[in-house]
Amino acid sequence: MSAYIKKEITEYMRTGRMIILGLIFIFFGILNPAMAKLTPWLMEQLAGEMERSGFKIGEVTVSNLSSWEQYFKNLPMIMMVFVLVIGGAFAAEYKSGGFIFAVTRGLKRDRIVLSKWSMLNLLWTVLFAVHTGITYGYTVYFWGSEGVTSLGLSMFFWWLYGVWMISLFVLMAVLLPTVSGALGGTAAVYFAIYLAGMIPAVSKYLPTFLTGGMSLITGENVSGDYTAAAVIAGVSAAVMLAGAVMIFRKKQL
Amino acid sequence: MDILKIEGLKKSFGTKEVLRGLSFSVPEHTVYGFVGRNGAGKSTTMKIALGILAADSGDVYVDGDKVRYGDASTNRCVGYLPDVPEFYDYMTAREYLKFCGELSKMEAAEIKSRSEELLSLVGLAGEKKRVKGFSRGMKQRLGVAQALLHRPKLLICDEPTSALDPLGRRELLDILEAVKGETTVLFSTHILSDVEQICDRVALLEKGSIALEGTIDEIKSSHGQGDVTIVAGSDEECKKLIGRFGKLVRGEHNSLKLKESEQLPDVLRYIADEGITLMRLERGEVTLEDLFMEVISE
Repeated sequence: MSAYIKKEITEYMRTGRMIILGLIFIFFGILNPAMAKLTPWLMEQLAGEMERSGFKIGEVTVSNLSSWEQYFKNLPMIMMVFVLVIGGAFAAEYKSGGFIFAVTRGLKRDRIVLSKWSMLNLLWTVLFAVHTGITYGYTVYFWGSEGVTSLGLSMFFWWLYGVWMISLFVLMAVLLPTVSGALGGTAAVYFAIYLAGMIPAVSKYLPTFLTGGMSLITGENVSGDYTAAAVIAGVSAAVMLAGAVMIFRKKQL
Repeated sequence: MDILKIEGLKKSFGTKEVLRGLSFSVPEHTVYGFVGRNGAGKSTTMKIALGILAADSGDVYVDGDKVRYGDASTNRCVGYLPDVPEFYDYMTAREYLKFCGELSKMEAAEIKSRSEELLSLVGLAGEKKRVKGFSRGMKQRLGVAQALLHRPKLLICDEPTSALDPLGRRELLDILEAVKGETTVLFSTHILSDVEQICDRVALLEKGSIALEGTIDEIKSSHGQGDVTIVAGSDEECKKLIGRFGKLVRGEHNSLKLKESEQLPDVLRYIADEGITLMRLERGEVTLEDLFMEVISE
């Protein structure tokens, strides 16, 4: 397995995808606290004009919560960019015969899927850690960490949501051997779950519930509220991965 | 011993029956030409032998082990060279071979020494750039190197020369001929001159099964000898010969073709008795192409 993962890492490094993802994750990691820091100044700049339009802006105070709010608000977009960049992870190999090549060298099909999945999760974990670490560092530096509860847990839930999303993508990418198929399938399932999440009784059982970290750090929700969603996300990620492995065993390459 | 054994292989795509009970065996240490028209099912057969395509029925054995669709274990002793090998463009030839060796679970030191040996064999030893900058011929040669890296018992080449220019083709055929000592080569092609140059045995796939099989000499001799061309001195003499031997066919100028060469002694005796001028007598060589055209048109 390690040879294939090494090849994957080389591929991400040399095709520039790692740089693109790295820059985006770092950029937003800096942007989250920067936006919070700049908000009073921005408001001040706009105040005069707003007053002429009849709005009056009072004094704007920002805290570490403003920075974390930015963090949780930007994560879905960053996740989307991540999925778009990895979109060809399977399709390119189907197209080029890369899978056929690996199989004809005696590599077990299960290992191909597991290596790809592991690589994507490794990538996600490293990028997520860098992104979160940067935001965390600046936020604590500027405002400290008072008034924030369960921050680590809220981050873990978001990371777990990423793992779930990757598992969904891998399943779709095995099933539908084109970039558009894999991304379209992932988007369709995500959209269905997003719609289901609008029903209050259902929402807290869905993986998307794990993205609501802001409610956890402000104390609006308690960690126990996320247990069901976390267990369901973990189990369904494992089921999707197992499904992907089994489908790939008999897939026409 | 047979390194590859195919028994009663059947495969259809929709309503199109591509393989209809195909059976043949490839003995060890031969270069085995697998010939057929485009779409005859050569690639299909090879993909089934590699376990990357499911057969409808029939069995394939590689080195005595049964090939199962989706299971790559029999591929451990097989090297595969596709018609247009695609590589990871961002790797150099050495990195690529290292990756291949690691997939085949070879020792690091052996990967290194074997890579150098093969890169010299295929003429890429001095190549430092990434595969992205390689020509098609260079890619094909690197393809041979990767296919031979783990010293496979069987090398499966799917039309390896069809996408190459004459020089690249020549180079590749030389390489395949050179590796005969260490491996068995199954080589599919529709270029018959390639087969005549390097193959020990040949099988012709036609209508989903083997229409001809054997060594090239066996096949040629089993299908009789070539046509005999007789060139007489004048038009009258030609007419006289045709009048006596109805099976002679008139060609250009004063030439006559005799397809059934067992009649030749009678014809020659007649020429001598009648004092006919014999300008030229020639026996044409049977080519694989003639034989295959004959089989295909049957």
